[in-house]
Amino acid sequence: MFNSTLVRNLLKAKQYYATVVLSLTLTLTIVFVVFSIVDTVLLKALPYGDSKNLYVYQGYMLFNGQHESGTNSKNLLDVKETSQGIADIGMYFSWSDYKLLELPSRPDVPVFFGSSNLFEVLKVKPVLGRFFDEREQLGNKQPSAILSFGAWQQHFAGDDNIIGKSIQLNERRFTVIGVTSDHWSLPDDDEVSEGIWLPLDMDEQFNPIETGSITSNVRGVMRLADGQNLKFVTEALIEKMQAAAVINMPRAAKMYELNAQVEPFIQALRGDSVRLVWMLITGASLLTLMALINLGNVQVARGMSRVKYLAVSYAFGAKRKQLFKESLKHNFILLSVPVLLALFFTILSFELVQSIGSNVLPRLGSLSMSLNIVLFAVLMCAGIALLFSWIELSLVNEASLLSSLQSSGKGTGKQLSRGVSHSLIGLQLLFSVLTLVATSQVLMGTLTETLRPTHINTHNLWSLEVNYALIDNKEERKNLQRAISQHFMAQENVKAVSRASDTRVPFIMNHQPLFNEKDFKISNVRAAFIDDKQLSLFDMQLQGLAFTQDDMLSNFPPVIISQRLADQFSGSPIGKKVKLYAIDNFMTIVGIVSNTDYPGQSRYEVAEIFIPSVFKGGRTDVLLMQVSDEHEGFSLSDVYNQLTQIDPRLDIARLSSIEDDFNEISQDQRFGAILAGGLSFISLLMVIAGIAGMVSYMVNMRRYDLGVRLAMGANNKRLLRSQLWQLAQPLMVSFLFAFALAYFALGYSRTIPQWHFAIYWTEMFLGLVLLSVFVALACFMPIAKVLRTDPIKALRNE
Amino acid sequence: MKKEVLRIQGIQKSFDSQAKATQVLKGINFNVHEGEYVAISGPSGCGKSTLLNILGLLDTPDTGEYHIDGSLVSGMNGDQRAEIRSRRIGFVFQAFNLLDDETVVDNVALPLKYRGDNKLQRQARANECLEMVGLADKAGLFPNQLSGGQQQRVSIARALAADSGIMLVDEPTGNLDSKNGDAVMALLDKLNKQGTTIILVTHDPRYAQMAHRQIQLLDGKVLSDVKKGDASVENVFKGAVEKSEEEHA
Repeated sequence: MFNSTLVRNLLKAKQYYATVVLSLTLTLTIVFVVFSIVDTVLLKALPYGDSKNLYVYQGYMLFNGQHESGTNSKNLLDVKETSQGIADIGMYFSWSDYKLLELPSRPDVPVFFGSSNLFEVLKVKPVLGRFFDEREQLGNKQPSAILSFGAWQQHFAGDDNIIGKSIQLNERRFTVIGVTSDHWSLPDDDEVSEGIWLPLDMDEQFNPIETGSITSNVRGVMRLADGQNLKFVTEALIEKMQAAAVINMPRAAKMYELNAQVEPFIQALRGDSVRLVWMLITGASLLTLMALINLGNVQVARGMSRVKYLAVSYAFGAKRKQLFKESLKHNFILLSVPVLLALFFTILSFELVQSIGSNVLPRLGSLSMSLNIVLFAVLMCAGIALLFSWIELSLVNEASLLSSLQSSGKGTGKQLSRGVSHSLIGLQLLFSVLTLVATSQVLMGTLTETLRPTHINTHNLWSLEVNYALIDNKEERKNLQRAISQHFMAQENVKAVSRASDTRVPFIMNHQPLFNEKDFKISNVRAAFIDDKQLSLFDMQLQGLAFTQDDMLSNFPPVIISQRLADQFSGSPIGKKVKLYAIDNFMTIVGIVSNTDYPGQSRYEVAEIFIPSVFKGGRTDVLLMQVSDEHEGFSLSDVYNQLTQIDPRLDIARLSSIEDDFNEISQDQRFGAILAGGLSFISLLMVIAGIAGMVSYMVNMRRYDLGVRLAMGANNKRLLRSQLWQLAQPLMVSFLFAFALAYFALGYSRTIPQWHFAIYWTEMFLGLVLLSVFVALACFMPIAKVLRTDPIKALRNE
Repeated sequence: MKKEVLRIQGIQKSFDSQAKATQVLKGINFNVHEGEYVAISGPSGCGKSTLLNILGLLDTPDTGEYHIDGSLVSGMNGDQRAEIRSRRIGFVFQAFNLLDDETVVDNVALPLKYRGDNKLQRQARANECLEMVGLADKAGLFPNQLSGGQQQRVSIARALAADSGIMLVDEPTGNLDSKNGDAVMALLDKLNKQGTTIILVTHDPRYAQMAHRQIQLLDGKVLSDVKKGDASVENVFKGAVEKSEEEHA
């Protein structure tokens, strides 16, 4: 009996229940995911002791008008020796992966190099073993390794006896001395939770004591001494960093404006992500507001349809408190369904969020369902249930109850007035139009950026960066580079092979100043050493002369510049002589190539200079390979095997298709596009559910009225037309009002210089047309359905 | 002499409509004793339903006193009135006011829910009441599966459920055909004979005459208050009503 009543109630108010469950499941999923991200990125405590007094110290240089991180380890070591006001300062850097040859799969593992005091500065304790101490001091070259919790679990299955065991990373063996706790994070580097720590002086290529070049990956982690003021300490550290730079990297100190920054660790960790998190919070709030308007409307309708129940209960002695309690219980049970569904979908979406957002937001590796989220879910459930019950009870007073009790005919009970219901629908639409306009702008902005052409050929091109670091002899490296190039050239389905000093997508930017014959600096440029085939493989349009085989061997080679650099010359640059900061010889410009654009990373779009070069025997070298359509693509393990067969000391630094490289740099934009697209899709769904639910309620409540009209001879078409026309009026008013508001907001935003952005009118109108079509359908379907019912049944209100 | 259960004195009630106050009740006085069967009748708009709402504590008078079982109830707050409604008053409405989404037995049990009875007690009492109105076999059905007469009998069972002793009945036959109307009136008569105090609002003189006492309202005032068998008085007032109706016309 209980079940039949329950089923009957569910069926009778199915539009109501469907609207509530659908709207809330969608909204709460987004809200819970965003709350989880906020909790992880902004609220969750760092896994380091006394993390409030933990600071990151790093060097900056002004490059192309932007601050780029960069200093070197010698500077940091000098600062450490001389600085006062600091309790302690540790140091770390990371720039490459090592192969864990211990395992048959030979996985790439991110490797971090830390000073012997780093873990003491971080105030952390190992899960197993110990951390670095004086035994791993700089200069000792102690082959110790500390596994991150993730690496321990992933590669060693959480082996409790791992301490003291020997592991092979690339060509060297290390002894595992400890395991860190889980969920570590470092500024701009989330991989630390899956990495392996080695002593500072144990990198294969980078000597922290001797290096004189700028590196962006060296950072200090410090704590202030008791009673020290951050401002004064920061000023002193900046001075010391600049002084150290003059000694340790004098050429760079002359070229760039060097600076340093001290910021709280948590702030450095969050970086730019705070802005993105706020965008997410704004989006989720907007969606929640829409959902609440949506559900508030539906709840008003529901409340009106329950007046009879309340009136009868009231007549038979129900107190207001009892009715409220009863309603609250019903709503809490009802809302627990979408809340549970949303929690389920939230857990499912974590993996998706991690895969699309891990490079955009820090600490996403530790994204998980926490007690905070569950409590938040319960609070949301209770809050919305209270709101629903309040809406339901606030709609009734004694007069409306009496009126409901005394209505003598069927279908003529208290109803939501047409004006109120139309206003509510109008409000929903208004809000949706505003959301759609905003999200369509973001969507189009991010999509346009993502889909911007690169102006080079990326199809069927693969980039292979080979690591020759273990080969000390330069001539041997040169020979190997040539041999590897020939090896791949001889492969089936490989059409062409070219070499360069760097990959096309500037993951490593080789920037330096360019001077004219009078030794005046023209610009900072990205210098790439390439062979004679490189530009044609990328289909870069060339004006002037291409490189020849002879050019590549010349001591005074000609150079080709990009159009961006050419634009900085007065008149034609062809024939003019230029000199790079790192090369003493003057070189003649013989050609200009078209620019390369980097969708999603316009900061990469800098002036470029191409210098002809053959294999130079560098510690890394990049091959660009063009393959045929039949080629299945290169696999990391296969290429690794081929390389180690040529020489077992070789390793892969990077292997990827050029298309993947470009996709990788535009992932922020794609993340934004997915967010905006998701938000607009969900808002569209919600407005459809909301309007369909509301219209459905309205026409159902007017079945009696429609039945009378049908009985009096009105035909279906005419009634449908009249009902749609009645709805169309408030919808059109809302639509126009919302559009006017959006137009005003867009116009106003364009007067703010830093907000200047393109307006995508066509796409916006298309979005609004789509919304109109869906809204029309959402109105049409329930009306048409009710009008199909037998007028006699409608009159009997069956 | 039986115990007095209801007493109203000087009850007045006005409604504001379009910025104009309309006085619906203009000083009503009467009392009702336990076990009485009182019919309140009068032309449309004379204030019958408003009076019934005040008697049922659904509405409050502007002035005047109302006592139930000797206690002054006019001036009580909403919760106190609800408490008295749940224990002392049962309603039967013209439109039945059964809840379409609840089964017959749950409809009947509704007053007991707010009195705090547990589910078993409620079901038992509801079935007992359905038995009294001859609908025990319909307990699991929904109201729209019943005829109008059956629905009204369910609504009478619901009014009986709380064993309140006072039943306020508003035009119980208004939505029924004569056969079903007669059956419902016979049931009310039977219940009265079993001790239930009934106050019936009706405009049907045939049914009004079934009561032991008829109170005639006109323009918000008691025109007559006649006990059954007092023919002379009855005729005097009958003449007065006809005269008044002619004046209105």
